[in-house]
Amino acid sequence: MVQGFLPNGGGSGGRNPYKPPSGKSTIHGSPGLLTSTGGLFGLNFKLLMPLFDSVFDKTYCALIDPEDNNCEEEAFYLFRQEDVMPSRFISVHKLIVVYKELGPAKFSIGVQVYNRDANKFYQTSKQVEIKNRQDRTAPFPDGKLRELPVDFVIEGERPQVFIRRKANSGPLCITRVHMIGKADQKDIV
Amino acid sequence: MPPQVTQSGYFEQIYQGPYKGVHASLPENMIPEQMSPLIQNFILKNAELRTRPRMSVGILGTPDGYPIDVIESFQDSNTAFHTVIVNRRGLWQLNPNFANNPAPDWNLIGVFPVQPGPDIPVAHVTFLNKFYWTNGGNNLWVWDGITSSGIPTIGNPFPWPANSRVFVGNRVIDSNGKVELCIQAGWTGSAHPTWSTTVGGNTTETTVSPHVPAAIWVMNGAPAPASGFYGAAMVDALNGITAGGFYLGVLASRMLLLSTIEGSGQSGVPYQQRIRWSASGQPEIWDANVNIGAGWVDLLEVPDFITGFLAIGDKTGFVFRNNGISEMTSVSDGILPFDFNHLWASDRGIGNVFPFSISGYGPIGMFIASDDIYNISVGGFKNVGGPARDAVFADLAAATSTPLSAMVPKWSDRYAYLVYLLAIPFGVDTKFWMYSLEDGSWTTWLKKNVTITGRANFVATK
Repeated sequence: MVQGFLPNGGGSGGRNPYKPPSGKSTIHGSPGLLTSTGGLFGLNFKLLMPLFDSVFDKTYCALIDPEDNNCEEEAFYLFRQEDVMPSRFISVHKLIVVYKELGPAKFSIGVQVYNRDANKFYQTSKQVEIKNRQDRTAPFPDGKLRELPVDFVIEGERPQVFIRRKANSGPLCITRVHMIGKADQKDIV
Repeated sequence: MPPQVTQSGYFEQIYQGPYKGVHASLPENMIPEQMSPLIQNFILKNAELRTRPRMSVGILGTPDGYPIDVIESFQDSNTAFHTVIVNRRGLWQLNPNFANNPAPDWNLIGVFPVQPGPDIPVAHVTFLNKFYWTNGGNNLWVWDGITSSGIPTIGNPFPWPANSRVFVGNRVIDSNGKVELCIQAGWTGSAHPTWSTTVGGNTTETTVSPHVPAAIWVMNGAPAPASGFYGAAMVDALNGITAGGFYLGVLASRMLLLSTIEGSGQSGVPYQQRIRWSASGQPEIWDANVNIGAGWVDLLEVPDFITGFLAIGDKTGFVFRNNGISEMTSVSDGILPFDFNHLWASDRGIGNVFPFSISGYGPIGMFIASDDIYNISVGGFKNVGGPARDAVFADLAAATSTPLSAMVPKWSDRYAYLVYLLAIPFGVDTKFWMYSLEDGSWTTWLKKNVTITGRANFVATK
């Protein structure tokens, strides 16, 4: 027998639907039943954190909402320093960011390098924007993986990628970053 | 692995998850590629670098502006949920209409007898559908979320009701003004019985016809302070000595008070090595003269103080001290219901050095010792600070106030992510170290211009 889906979503058993007994209930309330003072049904739960705000001199329970990743503070992620060719100059000319589209967002991505001659660190970055386009037919945001190429040139040792996003600049969800460049292969003399 | 360079000099380095969090124990060019020397306000769940959830004003505080020491939901014996907070003034309950202005967010249930009350993080448990808490005073407070039409003010001494069904644990004031606790469910009579005037004396209801059985009460001394809620731990009913403390727990159906403060009225003496337990299933009987199942012990054989408690299952718990841990095991229902085994042979070992760094979820707990951050479970101890330990300890050393932790298993009904969240105050800002028990990774959050005043909790709002 082929198991079919029923309109009500139940299984195709042989029983008739349950019919509750009709007529007036014979169950009486308990004479000692005490009623609750206020209270809630327990239909909705939230993650709350008691805080004191020193600017507004107020106490409140902060709502931590995992459906909203538009963090109200600056966010920063630093990748490791890469010894592409130890103690040699390299140049980085492209980054590719694979991200999941959660909504409009702005952030900066860049590279920091070390210059031995100047004994200094240098960095370059570009601000990129995730936004809707007028010619786009797909809904925005669609939660799908998309790519952003970022082009610039920086030269030095031990390149280190960083991501910086200012406060309230939209939700960010990065799954992969490529750092692409060329390394100096001359002998050290 | 460093990137591979081709003959032409071309190289490509790929960073992808699962990301493993902060690594502060090696030079930045020697750490694994999935780790980071610095992360701020990102979470790493599901192999993603995702900005952390927004923290916005969810519910405003109370009109008196006192810090919120605890937030918790409990279900009363009618199955209604109550979301409550405690501050220096007293106990407040969330108004179901809080989102509709101008309805107040919180309704005051009751106030502490002396104002303002204590203001430290509060220890709390829910036991037999009642909310118990203590916060550094000599009282263990309780609210059951229930009142009846016969009681004009919530928490006022509960009068003895005639011809009513009563249950074990029900609390009434007898005709002599003493607290009587029901120890056998049944019916009350049509008139007051002759109440026993001896502490611990039993009274059986009379004139209960036609209902049976008759309820039996035990006399528990003078009423503890009552003001919208009431004090539950009368530890010396004859002399009116009550107890509160810093930590609460439940083990083998008994409520535990640890690092107690004991005294009469509103003053008390601290006993930082003392553990008290209530009678089994009777969290309002703490005097062994009333019920032999209640009792106490002082851990005098160890040199340090109690800094927390964590139950691992129904029969075994761990009492944390500064320099050690004592295993507490339920061994009987008699006079000495617990056995204590002090771990570590040396006088200094793994203990909990920050009293409010302990958090638990089911059989899993986390705490901070002198040498590392530990995860404790049925399987034993595991140090989990890993490559972030030094950075966490550096922040703890620079903390400007007491760090506070919370274990968060669920962030919403659709988002489960078991993490240990350690809040470290830095002046007016708060830095959070978050350890994911799923990924084994550490990340940091920063929240400016706020100080955390109580543990984060997943509570009912509707």
